Amino acid sequence: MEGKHAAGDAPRAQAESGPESLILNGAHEAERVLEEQAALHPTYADARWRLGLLKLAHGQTVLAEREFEEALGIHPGYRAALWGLRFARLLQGRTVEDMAGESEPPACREEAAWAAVEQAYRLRASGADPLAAFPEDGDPLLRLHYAAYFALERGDERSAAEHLRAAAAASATSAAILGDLGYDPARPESLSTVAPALLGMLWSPLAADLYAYLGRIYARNGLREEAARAYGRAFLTLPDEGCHARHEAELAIAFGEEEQAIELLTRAIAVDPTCVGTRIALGFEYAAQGFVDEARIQFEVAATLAPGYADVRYNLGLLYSAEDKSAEAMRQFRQALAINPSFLPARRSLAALLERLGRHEEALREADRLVRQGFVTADLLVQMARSSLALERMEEALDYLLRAEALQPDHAPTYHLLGQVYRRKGQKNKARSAWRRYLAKTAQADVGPSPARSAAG
Amino acid sequence: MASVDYAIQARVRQLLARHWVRAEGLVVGTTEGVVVLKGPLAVEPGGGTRLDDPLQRARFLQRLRTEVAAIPGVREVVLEMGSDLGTED
Repeated sequence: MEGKHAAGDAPRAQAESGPESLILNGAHEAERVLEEQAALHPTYADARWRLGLLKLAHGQTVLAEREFEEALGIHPGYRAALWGLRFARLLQGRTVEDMAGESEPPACREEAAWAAVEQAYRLRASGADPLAAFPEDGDPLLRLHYAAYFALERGDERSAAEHLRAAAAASATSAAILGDLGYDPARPESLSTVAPALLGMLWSPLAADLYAYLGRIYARNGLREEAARAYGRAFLTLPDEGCHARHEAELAIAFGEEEQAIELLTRAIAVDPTCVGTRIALGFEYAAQGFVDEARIQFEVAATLAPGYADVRYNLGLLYSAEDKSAEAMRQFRQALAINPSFLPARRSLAALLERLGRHEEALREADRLVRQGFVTADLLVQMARSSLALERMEEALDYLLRAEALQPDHAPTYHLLGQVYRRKGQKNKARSAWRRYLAKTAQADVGPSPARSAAG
Repeated sequence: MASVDYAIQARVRQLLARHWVRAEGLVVGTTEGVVVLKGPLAVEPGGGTRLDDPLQRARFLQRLRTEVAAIPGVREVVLEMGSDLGTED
């Protein structure tokens, strides 16, 4: 094991992209970024943990052990770091039976996978069949992927082919990922193509996080195919259809592939209908494409699943508002504020809605709260002036507008309304001057019929 | 204008995702075409340019502002994004 792996991308350690032929080695870049994070933020246990995984991927088990120990030193209850430490020691041929956490039951699905694979490595080390570590009622795909790996490792090509074929038949995702690596169940000889890539990976469910991290690094650098392959490796080491679909959707969103993003997020929801983050992401994708009903449904489900998310309530309010369901929109904005009274966008949109509905006193109260919370924009002050004007409170309206002008002299709507206030006060010269400034600050093409146009001329 | 706030909001989210800006802790709001982005600016690591470099950070924010402003229906962009160490492309 020592020195054997190269973060699973040894055959593709260098990728080219764009006219500048950017050369990027994801593992090296990850190591650089993580070392930097660990140095800048000594309390980031995650950075140490991922560095440990990277060292493992490079076969540096002693260095990996140190990183996991560092992570546990920062955060003693860090279960993933504990399992990483156990794995690093196991790969060094050391016993891990007496370590803390041994007797505790798996806390989650991932932990059950970590435990099964660790046991498989132990059995392999003792000369027993590693597949005995995977429970009958466990994840069949996890068993098939690791069975193929262990078979390849001991040179049993027949068994490896059998398990890869079974994995490809059991999961379209497995089939696609293995296919991308060169495997074709119909061509037995393709095993020799896929074997080096599979043997070059770090085979632990812990590595799924590392591969996902590498995927994001490749994606951040515009290397879509490399990112997809890294996400594929994450799936091979810890099969999770929902998580994989979310990763692919993340790529589709990042690369502007809107229709594909919707399809992938829908698939992720089919696997895990309770994932709030996926519902929100799908809601935004629908909303971006103008599918208000579909977006609203996703946010409604998200609000049911996570009633304490102010942001979900707020966006639901915006969708109701778009459908002219003012009462429902107001209810959602108020619920967002009940969850988080300092959630400024909800108060801002509530104030605007109240003003549109002609409920000026309430609109002013909400706007005033925003101002007292430190949220002051020219746009808000103009809205307050509109309400004051509707309530025939000229001096108050004027005060808001002069504050808006002082705050943001280029905000054209300020001058438009300022002209109206001056006209209502009988100050015609000041009104003309304000409207002239409005016209000066507004592109001619954008100016429609308005009192300003005729009066300022 | 309020009728397109939801769509602007969604487009802003897409834009942030495309720049790998982390949404945690970031408040995104749109009211009558005025977009507010408030909170810590952090991006997924590994992109190259550093946000703790004031010049690169300012460039990144300027680019973000320009791209948000280009979304149909946006009248104004209010950026109040504090510092959170990270990298960007």
